Amino acid sequence: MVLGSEGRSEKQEPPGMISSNARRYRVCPNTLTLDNGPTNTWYYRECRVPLIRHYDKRPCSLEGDSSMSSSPCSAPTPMPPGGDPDDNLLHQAFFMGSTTKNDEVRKTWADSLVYSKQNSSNWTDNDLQELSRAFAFRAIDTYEGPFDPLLDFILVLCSYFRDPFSRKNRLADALEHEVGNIFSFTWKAESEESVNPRTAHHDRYVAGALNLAKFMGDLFGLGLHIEALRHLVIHAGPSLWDDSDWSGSEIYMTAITQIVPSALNSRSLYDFLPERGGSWIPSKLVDQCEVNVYITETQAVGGPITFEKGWIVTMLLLRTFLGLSTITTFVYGLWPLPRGITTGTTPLRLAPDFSVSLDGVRNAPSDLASAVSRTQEYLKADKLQALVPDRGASSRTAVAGARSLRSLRLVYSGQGTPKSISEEAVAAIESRAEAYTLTVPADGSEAVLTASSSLGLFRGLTTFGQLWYDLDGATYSLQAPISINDSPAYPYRGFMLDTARNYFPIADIKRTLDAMSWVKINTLHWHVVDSQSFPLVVPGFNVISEKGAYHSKAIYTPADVKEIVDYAAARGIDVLAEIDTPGHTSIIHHSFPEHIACFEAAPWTQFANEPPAGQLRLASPATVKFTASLLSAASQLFPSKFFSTGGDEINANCYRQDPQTQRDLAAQGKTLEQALDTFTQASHRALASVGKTPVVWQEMLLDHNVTLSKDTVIMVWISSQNVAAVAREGHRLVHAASDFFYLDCGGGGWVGANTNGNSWCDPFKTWQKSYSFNPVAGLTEAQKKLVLGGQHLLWAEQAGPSNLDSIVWPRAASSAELFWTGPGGNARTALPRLHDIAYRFVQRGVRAIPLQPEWCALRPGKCDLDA
Amino acid sequence: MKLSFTSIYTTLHAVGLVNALWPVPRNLETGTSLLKLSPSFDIQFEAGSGWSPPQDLLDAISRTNYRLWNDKLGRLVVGRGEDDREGLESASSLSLLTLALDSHSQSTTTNDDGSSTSHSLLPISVEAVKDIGTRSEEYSLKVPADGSPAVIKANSSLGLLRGLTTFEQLWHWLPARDAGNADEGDARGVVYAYQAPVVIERDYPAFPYRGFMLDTARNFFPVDDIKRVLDTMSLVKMSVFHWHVVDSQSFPLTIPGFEELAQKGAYSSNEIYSSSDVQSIVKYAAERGIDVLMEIDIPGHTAVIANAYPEHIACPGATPWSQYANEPPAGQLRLASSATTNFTVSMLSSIAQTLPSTMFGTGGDEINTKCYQKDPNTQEDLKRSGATLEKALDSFTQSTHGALRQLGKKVVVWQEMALDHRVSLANDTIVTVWISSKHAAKVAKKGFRVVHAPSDYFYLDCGGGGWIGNSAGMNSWCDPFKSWQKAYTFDPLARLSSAEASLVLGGQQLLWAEQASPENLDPIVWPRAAVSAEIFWTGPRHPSGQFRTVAEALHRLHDVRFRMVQRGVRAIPLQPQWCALRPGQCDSGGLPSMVWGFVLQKLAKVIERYKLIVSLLTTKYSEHLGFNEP
Repeated sequence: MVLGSEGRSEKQEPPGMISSNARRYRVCPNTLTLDNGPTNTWYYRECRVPLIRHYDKRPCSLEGDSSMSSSPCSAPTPMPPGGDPDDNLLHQAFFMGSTTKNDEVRKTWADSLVYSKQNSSNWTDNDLQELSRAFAFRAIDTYEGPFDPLLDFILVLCSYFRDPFSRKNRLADALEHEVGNIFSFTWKAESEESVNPRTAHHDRYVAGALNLAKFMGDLFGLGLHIEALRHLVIHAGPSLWDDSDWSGSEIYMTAITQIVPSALNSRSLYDFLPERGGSWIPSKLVDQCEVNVYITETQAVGGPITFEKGWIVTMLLLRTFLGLSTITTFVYGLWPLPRGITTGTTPLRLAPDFSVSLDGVRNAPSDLASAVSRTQEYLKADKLQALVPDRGASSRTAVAGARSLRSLRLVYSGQGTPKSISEEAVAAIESRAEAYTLTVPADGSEAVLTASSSLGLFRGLTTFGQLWYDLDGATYSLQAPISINDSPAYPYRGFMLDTARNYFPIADIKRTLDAMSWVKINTLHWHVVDSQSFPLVVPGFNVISEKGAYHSKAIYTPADVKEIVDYAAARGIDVLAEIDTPGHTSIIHHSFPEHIACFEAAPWTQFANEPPAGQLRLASPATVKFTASLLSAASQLFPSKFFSTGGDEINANCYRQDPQTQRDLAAQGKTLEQALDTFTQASHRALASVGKTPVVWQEMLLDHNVTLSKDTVIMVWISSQNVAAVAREGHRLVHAASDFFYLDCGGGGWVGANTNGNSWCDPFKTWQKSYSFNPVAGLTEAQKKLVLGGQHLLWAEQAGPSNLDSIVWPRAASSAELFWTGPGGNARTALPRLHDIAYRFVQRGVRAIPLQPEWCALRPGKCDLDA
Repeated sequence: MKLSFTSIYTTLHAVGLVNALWPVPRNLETGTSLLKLSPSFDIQFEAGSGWSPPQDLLDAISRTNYRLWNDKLGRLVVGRGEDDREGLESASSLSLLTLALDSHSQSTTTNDDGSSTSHSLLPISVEAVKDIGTRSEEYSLKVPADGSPAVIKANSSLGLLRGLTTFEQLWHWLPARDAGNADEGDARGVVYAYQAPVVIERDYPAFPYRGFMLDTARNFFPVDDIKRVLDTMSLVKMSVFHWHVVDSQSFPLTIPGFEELAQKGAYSSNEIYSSSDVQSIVKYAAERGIDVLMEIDIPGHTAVIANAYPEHIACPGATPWSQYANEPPAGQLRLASSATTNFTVSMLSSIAQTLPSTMFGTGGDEINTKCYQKDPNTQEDLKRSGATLEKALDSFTQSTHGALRQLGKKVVVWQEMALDHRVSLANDTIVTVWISSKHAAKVAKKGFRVVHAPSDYFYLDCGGGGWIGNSAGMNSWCDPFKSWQKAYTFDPLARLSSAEASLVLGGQQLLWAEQASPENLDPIVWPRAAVSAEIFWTGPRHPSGQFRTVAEALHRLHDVRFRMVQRGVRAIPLQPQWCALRPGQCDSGGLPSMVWGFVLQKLAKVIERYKLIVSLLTTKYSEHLGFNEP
């Protein structure tokens, strides 16, 4: 509960009340707070600081005079700092410094501006306020966005106003204060300069205010400062947005709704929070300006409030005042969301002769060239219409008049000759570089994609392919300019497919690999064999698949494996194959009966977790040897540095009832656990000798007394609760918890003669559930480093090619974003983007399911519970 | 302490139910001989019968001929039929199937149609859309083991179609040995039955209404997808396609004279069923023995009409939607307005008269009172007429139903119209029970005919997670998933007196499409929806009165599922293929006994001192759970 000591609280006031209060009092920038209650009621706190009312010195009128319509500020005469209109030096310095594109010149004018008062410490707070206002009005009139010289000028000026003691920046403070204040004033209902939709030139105000919003956003590296949004929403008043006669409203709504998500739908604000170290703040702002941005929510009495809650408030405000029905362009289609992104509001289309240029990549590897061709093919063939009620028709004019983008230039910024994507994709996980930057200017000039690796360029191409929509054959975006600086939060982003319970033809696996690469998943964990069937043809062990595959055609030959592995690697995907041992191996009995204990013993429930029962005779030296050479042979089919030996669900009763195992144990004087240790060490040694790092299921670490090398990677599957225990042992881990990531849960029990059974891991794991996962919950700083990433998993007891796509997509994309963009994403705001990628999947021939009625997909937020 | 499986296993084999027929005929005798289909196999009409077969029957025959050779479904046994190869060399070949009209069956039939006494056989598409309860679907089938002609006898073209459908399911495929690496397109191979002779004496449905409902409004389904559904329905002898064609989210249906509804209410101009699409669907269905029951849900579920006719919709898009509708967007027909009533009547009549079915659905579920309370127009209309909302609903319903009845339609409504509102409904109104299976008895007590569509057994969309936008962690409202096993244990006559039982027309599984589209249509529907097809064709019980069990059904369901896949329907696997090839081997004693078995084992281990207690526990539960003493 927040009550300003000097003000009073008004709970959930209607906008009219707020406005009338705001007339009397200046609204503090940091007044948006939350209680800790369930309803996130927001409060208004007022300051007793009178409104600053001296905006009369602005260079050109905000009121609609006739001259504005042709040329709003044709001769910008910025307000001179110091309030003296005759101070020509200041005047000129400000004007020149804020318009030049030359760094040297800019610095010169900054010097002359600052040193007009001898030195920076002579600038009073009042002077800085005036200067800030000048910036604000300059921004209102003509601000272009992040590439405007105005912003650069501010950055230079900031360097003069650092306070070494408080580590604050006086100019930044003044800017925050004044710009925010002017912004709120612009929107204040019923004040003399307020926006009134029924007056003639209101749209000029809106344009100005939006420019200001954009400016603030850029200033604070956010795209749009949350305060700005709040003011915009509150002070515009509902009448502006409800007035259907006003033709301008749609234009500005479009503008707002594109600015808003670029700031708030991105993670940037989240990253801005102090506990995240402000890691996203553009380095040049931090270095040069040390902008003292504070996040209002964290200052609330009663402790910090999470970003999500702030989000909810923001969205509630949006909904309350705007009504989401008018938000028609909320969605843009990037998934996973880049970690750093700014977008604009300018329409841009691909030229008919658009091409991707590899000129900037000397000796471009052939798989990069292929990736470029695929990207160009997607750009042509996707034909995805914008997910808005009219599917983009109302943007027809904008698209028709848009500038054309003729080329995307790839630039390799790494050392030497670039390696192939395939090489980089299967390199040791810690050595992969997936970062890239992408800029798409609004003016049609060349887009540039830069990375220090082929893999990074490939990720950038994937992003580029998601920026575009189709309208009458035109491929367009409404969000230029676009600037993206992206890299994954976690190096392991996987998907596991079980091809043993039911078989999946190669074409299905390839389609899955394509879909995975579209959301930047980089590991296929291939659970290729199990007790039910052995489709993998292992050289030297061909008889296992001959006798263990479902059918002579339901196999993966070495040539098939190579085809899959090559296909994956060219798409930035490493194939981590698993041969689960010593359990889950019943099927080996058909070819090597001597190595399997308790083969198809009944009732299976006592000998295995699933029928049929049967496990490798781990205590038999012959079986240990057999297994080591089988694993060694199988692992060499795959270029990956990883190979998994499974190790889950070992059934002790099976071994107790197996006379041979009992004899072997007795002969060696070993316990079962000791035998398992010997068995595991032999297998893992065999893998190490062919350069593989072992991956195992969690039981090997947590439930057994087995010596594992320190580099062994542990997969946590039973429960997310087990993560901390694995981390405590100091092993690297992959999240694959059944309570978040199992795609097969919720489909009913598959064991026969089971009338009322639900699946063991009921209920269905919704995409929202996995999206909410916190990969570092309960981990210390040191332990957090052990988290490689995570994956969704499809166990195929009830899955086959028939439902592969529909059971996996788009759900498995939720972990792709979780582990690329990092946790903390909000499901409500992610949903429109997830719809977008799912629709794009369908356009590309992957049968992703609809998450909602199409009505909802076209109207973000309208189908929320509280909408 | 061991779980007992032997009894189930024995039952399975003893009654010879390891066959591939779905729904299983009520009266089936099979042998153990192999019988090949001769390359010259032909289907002919009984010699000298003198009747001229209708075109749609001839089409059905050519479809059968095609499928016999192209299903190419291997037997679901280990080796996929390889063990049959030797025996097939000496097996007889069947070269003729004769279709015959069974004049005797007319006198013994319990159906009251008495229509087909002449030798002019009516088309399937005419038989299929007759009044429900008057259709003749009965057939007999004999396939001798010695290669002499097989015979299907029926007293209608519809019955012959059902017989052909059964006949198709008798056949499996074994590729030629040297076809080793050839793909499945290789023609060399044997089509054969493994249970000859087959004798089915008088197979006929327990219930006339065996349906499937598809919602094409939450997400759109192209005509081809609907036709594939109709083909699959026909494969399991379903008789009614309940088409929930429009709803609040979209209006994809072109109604003559009301074209604007679709123009402004469809998701896009490509997502519309034109009048010719509708006719093509109806014809396609009827030729496959399926009646299309179209539903236009009123007065709720109509928000989208506001796009074209804002004057007829109360509370369109009102927020928060949760107060004005069960789903977004809110909006209902202004039932108290006479203009709206007239509009509704002519809209319904306009579409209904283009459809051959004698049934038409007017919905009537989930009417939101608050929407009308907040609607000034409705309040004014009510005030002017002095009627309550319920009275207005009554006149609205009587007008709409009256108009449909004049067109010869029986009206089908959701249960609320019979149970929750004070609306006078004609006695022949058919009431679809959806909220809970428990409500069927209430409807029957009111004397209305009942269609079972309970969410607790038959909703195919349950268990997929909540679809409302910000429902993180929410499950679907009707969680959990309704497994095929759950649906299979439905008893259509539970809690009904014998008089009430006669009111049960049948039932259906339903796909509400909030989270469904062409992408997952097949996997979410099949093979699950085939379950109610058997429940309502064969009936839930053996002739002995015992309920059929999922253990008996699973293998046959696997078989029909694999056949669906061969026919291009993406039906999901119910188990690992390992299990599908080994009937009974993946059974448990049922999850409860698994759990209890585990608990009891743990108990025994941990507290050995209390052996007495444990043995008491075991004894107590053993009978109930199927334990035997060690």
